[in-house]
Amino acid sequence: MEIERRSVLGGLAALGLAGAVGRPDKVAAASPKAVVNGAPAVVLVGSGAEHSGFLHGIEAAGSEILDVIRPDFGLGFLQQAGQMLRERPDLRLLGLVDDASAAVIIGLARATGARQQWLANHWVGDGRSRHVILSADLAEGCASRLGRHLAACGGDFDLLERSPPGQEPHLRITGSARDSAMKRDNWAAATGFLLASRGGGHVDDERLGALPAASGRGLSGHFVSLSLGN
Amino acid sequence: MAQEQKTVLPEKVSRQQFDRAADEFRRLLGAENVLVQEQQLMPYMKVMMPKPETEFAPSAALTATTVEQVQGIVKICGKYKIPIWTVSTGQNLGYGTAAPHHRGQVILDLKKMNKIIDVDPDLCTALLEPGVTYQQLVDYLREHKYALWVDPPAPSAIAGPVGNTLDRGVGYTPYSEHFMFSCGMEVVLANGEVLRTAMGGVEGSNTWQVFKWGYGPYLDGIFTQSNYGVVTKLGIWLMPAPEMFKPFAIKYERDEDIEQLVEMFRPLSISGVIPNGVVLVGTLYEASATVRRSDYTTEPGATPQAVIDKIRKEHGIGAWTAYAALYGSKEQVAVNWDIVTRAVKQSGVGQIVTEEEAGDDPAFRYRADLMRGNMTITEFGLYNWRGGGGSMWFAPVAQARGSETLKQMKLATQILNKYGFDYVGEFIVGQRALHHIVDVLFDRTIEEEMKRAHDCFAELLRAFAAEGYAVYRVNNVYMDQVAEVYGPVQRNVNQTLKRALDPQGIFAPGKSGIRI
Repeated sequence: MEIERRSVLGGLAALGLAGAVGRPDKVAAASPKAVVNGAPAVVLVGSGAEHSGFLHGIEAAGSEILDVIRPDFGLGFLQQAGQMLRERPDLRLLGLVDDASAAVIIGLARATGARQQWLANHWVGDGRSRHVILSADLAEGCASRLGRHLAACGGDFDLLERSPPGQEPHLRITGSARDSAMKRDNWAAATGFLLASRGGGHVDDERLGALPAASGRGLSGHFVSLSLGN
Repeated sequence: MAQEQKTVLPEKVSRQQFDRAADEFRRLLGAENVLVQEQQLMPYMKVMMPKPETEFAPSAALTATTVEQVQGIVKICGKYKIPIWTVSTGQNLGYGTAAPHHRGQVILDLKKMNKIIDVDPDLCTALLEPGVTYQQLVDYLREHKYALWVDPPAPSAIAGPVGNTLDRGVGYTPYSEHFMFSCGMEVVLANGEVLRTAMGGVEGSNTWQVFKWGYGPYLDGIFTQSNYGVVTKLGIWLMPAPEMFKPFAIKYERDEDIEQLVEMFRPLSISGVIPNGVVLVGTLYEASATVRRSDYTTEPGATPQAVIDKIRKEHGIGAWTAYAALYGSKEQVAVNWDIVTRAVKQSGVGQIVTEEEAGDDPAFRYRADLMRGNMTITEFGLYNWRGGGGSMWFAPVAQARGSETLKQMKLATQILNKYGFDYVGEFIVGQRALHHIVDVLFDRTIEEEMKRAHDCFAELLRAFAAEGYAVYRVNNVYMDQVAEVYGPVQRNVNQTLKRALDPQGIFAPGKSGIRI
C-alpha cells in the first residue's frame, strides 16, 4: 500500500498538486489508514470546512487522503485542478466548499468529462440544517443514511434527495431537535464519511454511528458537498 | 445496459427507439463519446434556475470532434426524432449553464471541437471551433507572441468565444459587443448540409474572416440565440494590444448620482474617448468580491438599507462605482485622460480612483483585468453573497440616458425587495444602449424561496415589459415569456424560419421560445 501511495503522490507531485493547487494553504494531512476504503481521494475544503468534521468523516471511513486543498479564485487552482481531473481519473475528488467554488469545480468536471456521484447544497444555522441532494445511482443509499444519521443524532433538519430518473423527490426526511446538545457538526462528518465510503462499495453503519460527537468547529452558512471521480 | 434502463427519455421517443439511436451514436462516435450513465450526466445538471435539477435531466450527452460527426449526429437525430441541445463550453452561468431547455433532450457537447484553426496577426482575426476557451486562446496568442487581446465575459477563463458570441454575450474591452466583432460562420444544417456564411461560400475566398456581409441577406444573425443549426466554426476579430492601457474608477456616493453619471459618460462613449463598455456597478455587486451577506445579517428577506450603508462605509464602496479605461498611444491616452478628468470635475460629483491609487483593491483589480481582457473568475464571488446556489441574470436593455437607469434601478429594486431579494446590479454603457445586468440571487435549499424567486423573475419581466423594456437574453425557464414580449410577428417569423430550416424540430426545441 505504501508503494501505491508513493506512486500516487509522485504523480501528483508531477502535476504540481502534492503541495499546493493555485497556492492554496495545505490545511491538513491525514495519515494512511491500515484499511483503505476505495480509491485514494483528494479533498477540497473551503469557507471553514477545513476545520469541520468533514475531513474526520473521510478519515473515519478509512479513505486514503492524498491531499487537502482549499479552492480559490486563482487561475492556478483552475488550471491545476482541471489538469488533475483530466490526467488522474483514478482519483476521487471529495469536497465541502462554498457555492462559488462549487460552480467552478462542476464546470471543470463537465469540461474534463469527470463522473459525478453527488452534489448537495447544505445550509446550517440557528441549530437547524437543510440538505438538498442530487445523487446518481452509485450514491444511492448515502442520502437516506445521512438522514437517518441526523435523525438519530437528534438534529433539527430537512433533507431532500432527487435523482435524475425521477422528477419528484424520492426522499424527504425531517427531524426536529430533541437534543439541545446535538452534535453540532455531525452532518459534515457524516457527509464526509458517506462520500468516502461510497467508493469502497459498502458503508460501515457501525462506524458511521460512532463518529465523534463534536469532531470539528461548528459550521454555519451555505456549503456544497460533492463527489467526483470514477 | 442496466444503467440505460433508468435513463430519462426524450419526449415522444420510446425506450426501444432511444436504445437504437444510442447504438448508432456509439458506432459513429465511439462508446466513450456517448454518455448515458447518471454519473456522466450529473455535471450537466448543476443548474442555478428556480426549478429542480431533475427538470433539466438530459437523456444523454454526445461529444463530437469533427464536422462530419456533427452531420452524422444530426442524421441520426432526424431518423429517430431526437431533440439535441448544443453547448460549446457549457458555461452559460446564470442563463441556464449547460442544462437543456427541458428534460430528456440530448446534449450535444462540442467541448472536444477545440481547435484554433487560424489566427492572422496582421488582420487580427481568428477562426475557432466551439470548444475553444478564452484561456486556450490567450495561451495560444502568448505562445505565438502575437500582440493581440481577447475580450472575455466575466467567467473568462472557462468560457469560450463561440458560445458567448452565439448567445450575444458582452465583454469589457473596446471589443465588448461580441457578435459585432464576429465575422463568418460554419453551420451544420438539419438536412446535413454545411453552410459557410457570407464570403465563406465563395470558393477560394480568403475574405471569410474580414468581410461580414457577403452578398444577399446577411444570415449570421439568425444562427445566434436560435435553434436553426449547429455552428461548428466562427470567425472573430481580435484587438491589437494598445501601447497604453489606463483603467480607472469613479466612485459616486448617492444612488441618484447615476443619472448624471450616464449623461456624462454617454458622449464620451459615443465619441470614442472611452472606447470600452463603461460599467456602472451597484454597491452589492461591487461588494460581492469581498463581502458575504452573512457577514452583516442572517435575517431573511431583502438586505436593509442600513446594512447596505454600513457596507458602503466599512468597505469604501460607492452607491455606484464606474469602471472604464483608456486605450491607445501615450499621447492619445494623455489627451483622453484630460477630457475625462475635466468632465468629471465639471459634473461636480464623483471621485476618480486611478490604478495607482487603488493599489491592491481586489474589486478594482478584477475590473481592470476584465477591461484588459485578462483571465479571471472573481465574479463567481457573487454566488457567495447570499449562498444557496440560485442565480438568474435579469438583463433588460435601456437607452443610455440617466433618467432610464434610475427608473430601471428603482423598478427592479422595488420588485426584488418585495419578494425578499436584493438588487445586485450593474449597467454596461455601450454607446447608445445600456445592458442592465441584475443577478437575482436566491437560496435553492428552500423550496418556498425557489418558488418566490421564480415568481419574482416573472414579475420583473412583466413589469419591465409594461414599461416597454425587454431583456436581451434569458435562462431556459423564461424563454417563452420573453419571446412573447417581443410580439407575435417576430415569433411567427422565427417559427417560419424554424419550419423551413429544421422541419422535424430536432435542434434545441424551446430555445428563445422557438419550436416548429
